[in-house]
Amino acid sequence: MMLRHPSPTLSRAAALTDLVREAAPIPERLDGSLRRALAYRLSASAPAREHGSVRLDGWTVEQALLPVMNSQDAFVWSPRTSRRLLGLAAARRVLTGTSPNPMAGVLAEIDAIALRATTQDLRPGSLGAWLTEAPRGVLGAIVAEATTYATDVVTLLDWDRLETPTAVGAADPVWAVPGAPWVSLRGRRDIEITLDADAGTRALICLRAGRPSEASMEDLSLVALASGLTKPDAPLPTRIVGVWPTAGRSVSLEISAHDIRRSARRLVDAASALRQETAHATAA
Amino acid sequence: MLAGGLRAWLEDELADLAGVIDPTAPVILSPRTVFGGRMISVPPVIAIARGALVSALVSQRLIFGHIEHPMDDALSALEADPTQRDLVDAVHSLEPDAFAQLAAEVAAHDAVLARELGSVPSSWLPRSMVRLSASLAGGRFVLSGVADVMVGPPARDVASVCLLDVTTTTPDDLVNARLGVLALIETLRSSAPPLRVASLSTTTGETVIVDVTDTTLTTALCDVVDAAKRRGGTS
Repeated sequence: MMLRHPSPTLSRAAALTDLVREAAPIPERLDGSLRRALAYRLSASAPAREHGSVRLDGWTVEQALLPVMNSQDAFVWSPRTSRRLLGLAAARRVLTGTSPNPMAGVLAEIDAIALRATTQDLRPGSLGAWLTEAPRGVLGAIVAEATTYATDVVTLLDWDRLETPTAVGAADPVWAVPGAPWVSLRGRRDIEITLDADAGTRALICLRAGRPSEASMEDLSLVALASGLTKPDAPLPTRIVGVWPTAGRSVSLEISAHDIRRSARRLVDAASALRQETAHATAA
Repeated sequence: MLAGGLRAWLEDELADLAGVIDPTAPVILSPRTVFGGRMISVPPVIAIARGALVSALVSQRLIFGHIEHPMDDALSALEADPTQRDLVDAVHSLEPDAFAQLAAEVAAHDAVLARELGSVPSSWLPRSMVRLSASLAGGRFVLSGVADVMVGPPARDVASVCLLDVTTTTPDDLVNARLGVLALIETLRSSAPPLRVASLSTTTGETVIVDVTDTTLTTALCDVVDAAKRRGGTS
């Protein structure tokens, strides 16, 4: 596992931009046999279809592999759970010049969602349904959380020095397992930067809450695996940069075939653990 | 850079303590707990609720500028935060008179916020309830704090961030020291010191403003080391 850190002698944004833009070595590609083996093993070891969809990401994999699995509450919208979606959309507005600052971007995004809500049937439990029914006090908390997230994104890099295409807040890559489409892997990444358009090399940036832990590099590695699985014709991401704004920490994981194989094994282990957990719950 | 020197200094001071602390159960120090040895008592639930409600109103004021129903807005903001479930339950279980008194107090604190906070342009990049942390000694010590308000973009060549701590208590003789620790955490976190840190008491309307200097940060560093030695020795 090769880790690199931003230069401590430059400003944070300049150092991170330098780290992200560094030229890619010979691009690694996802081994086709690994893809097939992973699909086979996941479809054999994940919980069966009748137990509902199984969405695997860095968080669920980490939780599944804990010695004692934490009981997980059902997902509910809250200022915390909505901040990434709204914050990224707001940051995109600021970086494309359609909003003057992060808070204005968040308010514009909420207005746009509310406007769509007046013309479309809202799915119960959707972000739009929740936002349109949120009282003013809740809206304030939502805007506050999302504004902080958007500000972190907007001030993260020296954007003027990025000359290649950059996608902020594009939909996360999701790989539905062939043969078991109710099982999917999601790579939660916030920014994708093209390093060399001809070679298809790219760097991904992942903002994470709190501070880095022992499992953080596994989380970043899983993002690389998801990206490789969903872009079979492109090389693997050159690097995955994890950023923890609360702690002011960042680290770049330079992706190798070894990291990807280990991540795939971990994914299968997590799916097996979830299957056992589901079996115990059903038996109880 | 100053932040690098401060971190190295802290790491040196904490190195001897690191061996006795389990990295999976780090010692967490905040601007309040650094001076915990001198605290008189643990605040009652009603005071904690008042503080949380007023903190929620800080966000509302930054975003909307005005508030018509302080208690309703603040309480609904807390209700939307699953981590505040116990506190919200405690507020809802208050007797009607106690609830009305709390609502009146929150409205009074909000009036001070309205007067002292004023209108902050969104071009200043205001954000609220910003969590800050810095890990030391391989994660065995964690400095942690929350800035009720942060304005300004992250520093590049000059200090450009200002932090505001809003408190529902009356200012005491440790307020400058606590602000220094908050400035230290931000310096370690962002690699650049904030320009200014301030405290606003919504009880009295008093403000304390500290221009952050090397002395502010080194004094705070010594306070943190003292606290770490006290806490590390008892862990």
